[in-house]
Amino acid sequence: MKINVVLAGPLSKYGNGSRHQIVVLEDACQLKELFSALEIPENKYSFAVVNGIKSLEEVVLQNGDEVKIYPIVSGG
Amino acid sequence: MGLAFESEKCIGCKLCEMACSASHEEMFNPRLGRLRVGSRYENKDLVIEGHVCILCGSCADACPTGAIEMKGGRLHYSKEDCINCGVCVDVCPESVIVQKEEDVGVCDLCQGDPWCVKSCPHGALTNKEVSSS
Amino acid sequence: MMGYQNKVLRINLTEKKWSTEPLNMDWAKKYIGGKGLGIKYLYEELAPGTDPFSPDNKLILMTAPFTGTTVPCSGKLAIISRSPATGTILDCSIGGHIANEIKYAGYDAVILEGALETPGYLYIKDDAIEFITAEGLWGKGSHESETMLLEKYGKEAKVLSIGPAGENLSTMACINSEYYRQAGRGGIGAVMGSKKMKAIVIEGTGGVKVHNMPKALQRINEIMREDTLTDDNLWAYTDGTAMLVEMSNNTGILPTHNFQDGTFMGYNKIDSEAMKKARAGKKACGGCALGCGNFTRTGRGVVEGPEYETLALCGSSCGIDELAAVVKFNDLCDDMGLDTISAGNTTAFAMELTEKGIKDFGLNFGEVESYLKVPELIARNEGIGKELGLGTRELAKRYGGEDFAMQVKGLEFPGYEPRGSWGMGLAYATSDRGACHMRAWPVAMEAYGDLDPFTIEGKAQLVVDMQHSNAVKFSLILCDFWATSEAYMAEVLNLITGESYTEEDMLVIGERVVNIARAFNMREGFTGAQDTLPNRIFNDALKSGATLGKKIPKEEFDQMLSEYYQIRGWTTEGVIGKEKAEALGL
Repeated sequence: MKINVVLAGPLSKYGNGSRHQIVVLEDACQLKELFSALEIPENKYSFAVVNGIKSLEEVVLQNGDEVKIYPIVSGG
Repeated sequence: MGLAFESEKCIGCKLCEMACSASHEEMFNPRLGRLRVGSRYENKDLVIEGHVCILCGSCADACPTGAIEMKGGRLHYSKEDCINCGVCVDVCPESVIVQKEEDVGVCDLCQGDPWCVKSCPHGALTNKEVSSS
Repeated sequence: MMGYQNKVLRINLTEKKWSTEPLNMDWAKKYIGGKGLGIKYLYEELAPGTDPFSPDNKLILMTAPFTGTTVPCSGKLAIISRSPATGTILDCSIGGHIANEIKYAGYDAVILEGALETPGYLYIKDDAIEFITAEGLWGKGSHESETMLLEKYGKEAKVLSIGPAGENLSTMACINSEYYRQAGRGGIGAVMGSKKMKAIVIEGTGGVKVHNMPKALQRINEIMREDTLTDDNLWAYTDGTAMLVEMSNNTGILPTHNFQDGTFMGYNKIDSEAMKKARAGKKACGGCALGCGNFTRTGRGVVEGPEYETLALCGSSCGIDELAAVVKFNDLCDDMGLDTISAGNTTAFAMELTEKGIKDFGLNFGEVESYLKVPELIARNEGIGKELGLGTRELAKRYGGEDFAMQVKGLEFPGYEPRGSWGMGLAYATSDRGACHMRAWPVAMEAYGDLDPFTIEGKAQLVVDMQHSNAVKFSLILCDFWATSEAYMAEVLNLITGESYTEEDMLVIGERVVNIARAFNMREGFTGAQDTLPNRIFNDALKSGATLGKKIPKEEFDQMLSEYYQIRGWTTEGVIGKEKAEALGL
């Protein structure tokens, strides 16, 4: 299945500098496998949003899902 | 050939000036750094400039006592030979020689591992060594 | 102790005299510098009940051991006074290069007392102090004033200035430097205005010495590479604070239409991706390895910014999704010398009063032209500015709408919706200067993290811990964009001063600073009754997105607050317990 990924801010480095990526995964993969496929370590992102909803890494993805991944931010 | 400054990468933090002064003068005082960078707003524009030693050798040529010499691709300064005449300060085209009370401050590329380059967070300052002079 | 200049410059504006004195090292050992030491000085020197606009109020410019060194992200100045907006203790933080210059001039702190008879400014070059008339500057915008002063004294001079807002004693007036950096909140600019001081110009030709320079230089450089320039902090360099617009919107905490909602349709026109298209440069404060400043150029003008707070309170909260309009509003606020957080909030409040037919200010959500007139009207106390300038609390007293005047103790909310991050609600309610996001920022762990945002569980402890960490950070002085540990803080402090602070010492100092601020407020008559939130938070459910239907039940907020007092060793009325005061050596 194809997942439309947005790598926000400095996370574009996991997409070779591109904010938008299309990632191909096996059907019914969980969100955590998307992170593995992009080689984003667990402690390098703050949260991910699947089709507009903040989601845990166990969430099962479907073909055509839009996933946005956000960096760690400090301060206020 | 020595230090290079790229203004597009400079954020104006002045860590370079502070580190230069600290490594040569035992205190953090940007005015005593042997380089000058500035990032400021002028006429609704962001103006960034940087001046580093370009190894032109004008100071060595002008020095009446030979206190400044160009050897092995960098400047060497001898305080004992310096008469503090200030001619080097005047001839430096980049105005990066520091006039102090009893002597001057000259960029010696920190004998090969420049502190300004090490302190620059985003690579605006680089050093390319030449093997002979 | 090294790292300090061991000198305080005390200036009496009434008599146009000055003197210097040693820094109180006993206090410095316990409060370090910046926020903590500044509050300690004000607590000891200011008589309770002093009107913030009285000549007896003091304006304290406080640096710290890290100031003027290569310690990453150390280039901020703390400015302390009693707040005209709230009556509480007020410590602000301004970036740029002014903090370093004060240290190089030879001072740890500058304390301004009394008031000038006629408008003037100060010129300080090392030991030389001059009082100069502000004729020709008074009445002008902060930008024009700074330009004129730099023309007179040269580009290396550093300038603090106020705009017309400060001159006219607006409770949302700020102090500016380098055109686009501010000490923003609580009316700090009005304190300077009440002293008829238009500007302070500083040049410092000296330096800062530390305990063991070769060792400090080497190790601090390593720490910059291993702990500052890391993925956790680089968002500030690549994107700047505008990064948070998208993150807040997608977690339902972006203030929209005066906090009626937490999700804004036009968010992607004012987020960091939109700003990158308009980016014309990057700028850092003194000693900062990150460089969060974005110079932005649009069809309506330029600004360094807008920062997240401005994009939220002057953008989404006002229903404005045109980046150029927010840039213009930001630039006007900077020039007029107004806090964008309070100005934006008050504008949105006026928009809601107009929308609801309670009072017609001629302002409507999303309407750009009338919105752009607001900053100058507030700053010059003209037209609707005469009323908007009162701030949301006073405006609500006059016309109603108290439930949705989004403020605590008279200081307007920053850009995070507490109904979408319940710990943030506690942070706003208990912050020393009114609603503030700089004392504790639970958003990082709740809305943006793994903690359930919609529960009070564990939140009291979280807010306590974060308040201690930020309090000590702002006393060392470090910018909070360098997310670092107390272990690194202690290591760097020891490298600079030659002392042997421990990680635990950092946390104790943080707790002490929070408590001295609380003690100041208690002495001014504050109690737990003021640690609360506007009823909108308890009664109105959010309308869309990730926080649809969310509000904070009052009973739960009360429980969270009560747990917070308990953890802190304060009474159920929110008063510092005797044992706690003694333990901290207050």
